[in-house]
Amino acid sequence: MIQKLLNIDRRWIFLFIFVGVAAAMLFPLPLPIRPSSDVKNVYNTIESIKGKPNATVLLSFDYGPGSEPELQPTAISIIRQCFRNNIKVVGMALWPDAVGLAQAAFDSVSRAEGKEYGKDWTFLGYKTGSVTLILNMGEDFHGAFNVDYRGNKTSEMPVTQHIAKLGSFDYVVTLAAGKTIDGVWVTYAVDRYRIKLGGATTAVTSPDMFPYLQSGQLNGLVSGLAGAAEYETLVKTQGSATRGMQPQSAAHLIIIISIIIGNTMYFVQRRRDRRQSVSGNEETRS
Amino acid sequence: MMHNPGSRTATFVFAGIFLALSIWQLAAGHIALTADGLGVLTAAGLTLALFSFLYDDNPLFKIAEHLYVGVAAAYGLALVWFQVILADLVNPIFFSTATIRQLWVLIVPSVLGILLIMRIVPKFSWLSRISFSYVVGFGAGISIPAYIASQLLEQVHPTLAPALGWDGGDKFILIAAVVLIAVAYLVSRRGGGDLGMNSWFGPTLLSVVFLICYFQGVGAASLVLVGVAAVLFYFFFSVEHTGAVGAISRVGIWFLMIAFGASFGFTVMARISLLIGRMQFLLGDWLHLLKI
Repeated sequence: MIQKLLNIDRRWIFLFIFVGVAAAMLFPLPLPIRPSSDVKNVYNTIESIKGKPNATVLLSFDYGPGSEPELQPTAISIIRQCFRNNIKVVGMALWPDAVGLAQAAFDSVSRAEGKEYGKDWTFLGYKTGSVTLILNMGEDFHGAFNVDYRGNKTSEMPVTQHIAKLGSFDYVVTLAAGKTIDGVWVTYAVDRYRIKLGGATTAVTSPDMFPYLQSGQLNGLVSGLAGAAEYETLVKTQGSATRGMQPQSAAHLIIIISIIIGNTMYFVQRRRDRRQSVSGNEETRS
Repeated sequence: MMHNPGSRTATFVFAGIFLALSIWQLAAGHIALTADGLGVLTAAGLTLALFSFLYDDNPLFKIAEHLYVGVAAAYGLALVWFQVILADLVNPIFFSTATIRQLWVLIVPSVLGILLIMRIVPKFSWLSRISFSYVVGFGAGISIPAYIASQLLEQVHPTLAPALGWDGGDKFILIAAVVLIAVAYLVSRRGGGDLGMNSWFGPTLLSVVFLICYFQGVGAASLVLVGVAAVLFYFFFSVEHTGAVGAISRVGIWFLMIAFGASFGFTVMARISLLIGRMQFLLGDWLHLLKI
């Protein structure tokens, strides 16, 4: 029995996880979600600029479809919060795969909140270069993005005509799957142009971002699906992240139980092996 | 590949599931034969094809994998062509009224780019060195000062902050650090490696310190300072790791173990999130079983 459990086919574990996740989705059991201080910091910064004339937030979409479940809900929540507070939003992408995701997020929320393209929001699209693009934006925003994704001149659109450079934005939030937060935004934008930067990242990358929170280079961080669910709680709109927390908890429970069973079986087996070897030695001596 | 029984089972089971459930959805009228409906069916089929690898490697997985790589490459190329090369290079050079004087910022990088591609022609591959030297020089000039400022200097101050002003939490961490180092010293002197003590006792003790810090809301910054110092000791190989140095470096190992554990935990959480994303699509958009 112990041997069987220790050598269990991994496909059984996959099946348990699949069934656990599906069951938690089909029969949801609402769990409380308490926003952490890092998530609240991003939310509160956006709240603090509402009412300011021409308040504008820059959202950088630096992720691909592989990170959509974790980062798209945060993008939607931030856009929603800005629109509800009449804050202008400018979107851009450092990753080519993010273009479709950004458009989908903007289209759905702007339609729901009745916001107008060019006046309340715009999407600049993808530009290559990352570091050089940020440096260009830091010196001359309209030079870096002469036109938006639809070909409109940024110097003529009401949403961007008052933006002279990166520092003109009241807040910059990067939604990043890779090393874009620390490798590009923190290194070249925060320290050089002294912008206020918030981040949203996948759970995999978030431990690498904690030092920047401590140093204040990042003023807030939304980590993975859990962070996205916390943000949805703050914005008071239940989205895919909130719904995803129940299956997430179910999967974690299955993993914890598997770890406990696996370790218990391992120690029981080790004790048995030791006893057998001791008794074997005694038999040899006698 | 199909000679493998597992591969055959995966192919037929996953293809069967996809066909049966898709026909059910079409018959029930949940999915229409429109562009959107076909999109959902294609996405569901490809998701199941990729999941089929969890059972065994099979042709369905290979098709989906190759398709994904091909589509991603084509999408990226098309986007870069239309949004970068055409918009920022071809149109301004050939279809604008700008003068040569205004265009030199486009022409020089374009020439450098073309020289870079020369690497694929053996006879002219030496030309690519001009571009590489520019890239390396520019990269080093831009990156080194920026990295030193933001990744090193900006991190030093918050790390050393507790040493500049002590409070109750920091005193707790100081005492905890002394206890940890003493325990590590005793463990190593008593041959803890053989007893298996150093593999669980130290990290457990350190985890308790972490938990106290978390629940009391104190000492986190000084814990980082202790951790940084201990881990640096571990990576300092010029001195033999015995006695006090050995004890401190052992505490460093415990910090590393907890950091790796936390990192692994976050990774598991991220992977499960991806599964949840696909499951929400399969059960919601494809099978219409979720009430949204």
